[in-house]
Amino acid sequence: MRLKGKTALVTGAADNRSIGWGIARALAEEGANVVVNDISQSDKLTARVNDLKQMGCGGLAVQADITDHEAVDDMIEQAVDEFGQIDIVCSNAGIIRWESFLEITPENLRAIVNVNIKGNANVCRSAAKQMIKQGHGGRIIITSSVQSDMHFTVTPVYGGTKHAMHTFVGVLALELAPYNITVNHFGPGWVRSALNDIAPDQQNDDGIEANRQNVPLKRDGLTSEMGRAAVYFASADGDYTTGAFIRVDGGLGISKYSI
Amino acid sequence: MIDLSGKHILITGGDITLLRGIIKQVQSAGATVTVSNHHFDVLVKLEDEFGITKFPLNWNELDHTAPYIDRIKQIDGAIICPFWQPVGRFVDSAPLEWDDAIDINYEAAVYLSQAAAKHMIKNKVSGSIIFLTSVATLMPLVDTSLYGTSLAMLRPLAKMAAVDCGQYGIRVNMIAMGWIESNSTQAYLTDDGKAFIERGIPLGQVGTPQTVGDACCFLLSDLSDYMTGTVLTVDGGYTLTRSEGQSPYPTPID
Repeated sequence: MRLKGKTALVTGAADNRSIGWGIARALAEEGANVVVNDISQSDKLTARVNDLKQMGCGGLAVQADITDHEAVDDMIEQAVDEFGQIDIVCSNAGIIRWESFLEITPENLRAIVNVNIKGNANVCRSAAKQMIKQGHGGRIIITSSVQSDMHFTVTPVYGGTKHAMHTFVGVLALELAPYNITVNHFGPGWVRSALNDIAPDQQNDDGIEANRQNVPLKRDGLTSEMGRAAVYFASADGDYTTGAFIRVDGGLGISKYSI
Repeated sequence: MIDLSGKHILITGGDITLLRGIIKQVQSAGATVTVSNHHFDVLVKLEDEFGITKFPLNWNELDHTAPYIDRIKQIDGAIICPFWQPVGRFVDSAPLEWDDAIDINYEAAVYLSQAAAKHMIKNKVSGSIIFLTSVATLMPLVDTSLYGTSLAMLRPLAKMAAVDCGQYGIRVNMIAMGWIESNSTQAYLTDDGKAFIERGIPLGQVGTPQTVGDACCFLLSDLSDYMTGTVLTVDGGYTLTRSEGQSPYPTPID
């Protein structure tokens, strides 16, 4: 119970198959109160809060669109009103679209960038400001992707938003270190979540199996495994880790991907 | 000597001093140049100084740039320069600044490079596309979250464009610029500022726009025939060392 007395916020955590919920549950297993956020699916958010309470933890649901910076500020305020402070912020919400370079459309480009860059920046900025105000450090953890460093021709824009996390996380880590706020990101590979359900090459058993075979550890990742990476960064284990990136991808990122 | 005679190069970008250095070197190698910018006065000045062809950009229509780029008769190379290099702490950045940084440095580059690639494919030209980015995309530097992030987003795009366009003989590469004398950096290059910065540069000097132009000429020429998806770092070794203070910028930002 390494996070007893701490409060965490996780964006994109409504669906129980999501990485966001995997993170929330892993933090709750260590005793943290968790604020779960999503842009919609309020009934699922309510169900997640019940799950948290059944685990003996504090839980709060806040439905908000992270691309709206005022809604993000409000969400942080609600978290602080409920639990007194916020110690850990997991900026996890993200979206993906599949369009190769010559096919990129402004609509899809903007959709991805709005959530993955601007929405993420809103969450990190509001979190950092609150943690600075509180004066006793904090943890900011961003859900990135194996695509930070392993690029695919069908996702140049999404991959760009994830690769840019090296720069974003690094700069924030340097700027927030004086406040004892650590900033890190981790990179999932294939995880059976709703985001990957709609991947063009996951639409039948053959496609799913082919992707599994490309992973050195020959299986999908579990959302609980993504959660454990977040726990590392959030707990005392991660006290001396900042500006770092860990792949949690079964070795996918270092394999020669067959096209 | 690099020979680009007979080639026509499209150059986009925001900093006129950087553009001047690039135009000078590209023309010295024998190429002709079209410059695109949304500030008409910049285009007029460059036309007077270098005889370039003006190509005004309509900032509000960048997302359907291709039909406009099609009006340019010949494109053998495209050099895509960033338009904005804001500096400041992340917690002080405003949401509107993130909108601007992404529009100006990222989206503009995506649509312009896409249009240039399509132009080359249509005209069966084995061309060369160059993205000018920053060493801020190679190592995290305090105060650079806005332009570092917006330019870093271009690397996977450039690499995947290299994969997709290889079959057409089109190469796509990046240049990561370090400290270069230009309008964007002028405020920091006081005597003390320059001394501070140059202490951290193995080759002991801040770079010039002509240096960037030379690297562009190399990537535009046959000499780099077998290079695609790479990043040429033009920084005098800056990324090899750590700056003395917390910030790479020698004067306080207020």
